[in-house]
Amino acid sequence: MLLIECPWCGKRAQTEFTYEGDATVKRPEDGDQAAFHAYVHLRENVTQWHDEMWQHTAGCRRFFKACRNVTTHEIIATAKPKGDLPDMSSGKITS
Amino acid sequence: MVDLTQSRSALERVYTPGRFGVSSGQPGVMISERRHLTLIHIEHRDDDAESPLMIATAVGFPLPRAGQIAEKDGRRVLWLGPSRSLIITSGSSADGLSDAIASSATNAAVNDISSSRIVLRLSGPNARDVLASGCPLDLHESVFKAGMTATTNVDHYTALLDCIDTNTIDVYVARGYGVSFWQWLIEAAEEFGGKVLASS
Repeated sequence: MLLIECPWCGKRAQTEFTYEGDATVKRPEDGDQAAFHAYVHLRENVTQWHDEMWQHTAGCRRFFKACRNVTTHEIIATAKPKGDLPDMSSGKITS
Repeated sequence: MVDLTQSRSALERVYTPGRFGVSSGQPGVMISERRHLTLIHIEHRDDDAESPLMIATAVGFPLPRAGQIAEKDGRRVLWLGPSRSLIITSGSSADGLSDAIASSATNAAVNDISSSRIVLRLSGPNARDVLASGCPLDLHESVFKAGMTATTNVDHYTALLDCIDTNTIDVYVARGYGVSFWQWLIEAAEEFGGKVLASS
């Protein structure tokens, strides 16, 4: 059982949460077909750190961001939707 | 003629006061259904600083902080999430409260959800053990203390827990899951010896 830290409720069991997708994609401006195709369908198949959206479905029901290692399942940080996650692009914490 | 306005418990067909499970010694857990409560759900925008103040004026005291309960004069306010609260009250404390909040905090969503939950009061030395057998939350009395509340899972049902005191916890479950939850609860309590009390 993983414990995930909800920014509002604190550490709770993984079963209370729902994965809600890639947090790195940004909705493009209207009208750009290619950009929308990428936004809806194209995803990086990362093997290490990944910024994700999660929802505390069985708790406060809020969405939040989590930086998770998709190989080890370690979650190094969570943040509110407008908050910042550490930059793990080089595999190490840089912030 | 049948009075269709009278509220009826979702547990009416299964609720039977008396001992069950292990029958020797004192019962480890007592269960009683709390009926006729008024439940008012309030939600407002995160960037709305005014609504919490207006709600507090109508209720009579400030809203609780995260994970906490605020109570006064028979009105108990539970924190449900950011910008969301649930008021539990009954009788004269409930009279007109929903309308008063709605007319005061005009930017908040105020809903009377009294008939949408079953409310069970678990008490006794094993009340926490019964819940813990189906709940991932740390329910130890040194962690989940009186005055704290949490929405979590109990046997896969979303349940709101309200810690009354060391040996007493109120459980709120969606009405439609009431009978299923009841069946799980009775089975989970059997090993400790249980007693269903008259509903209140």
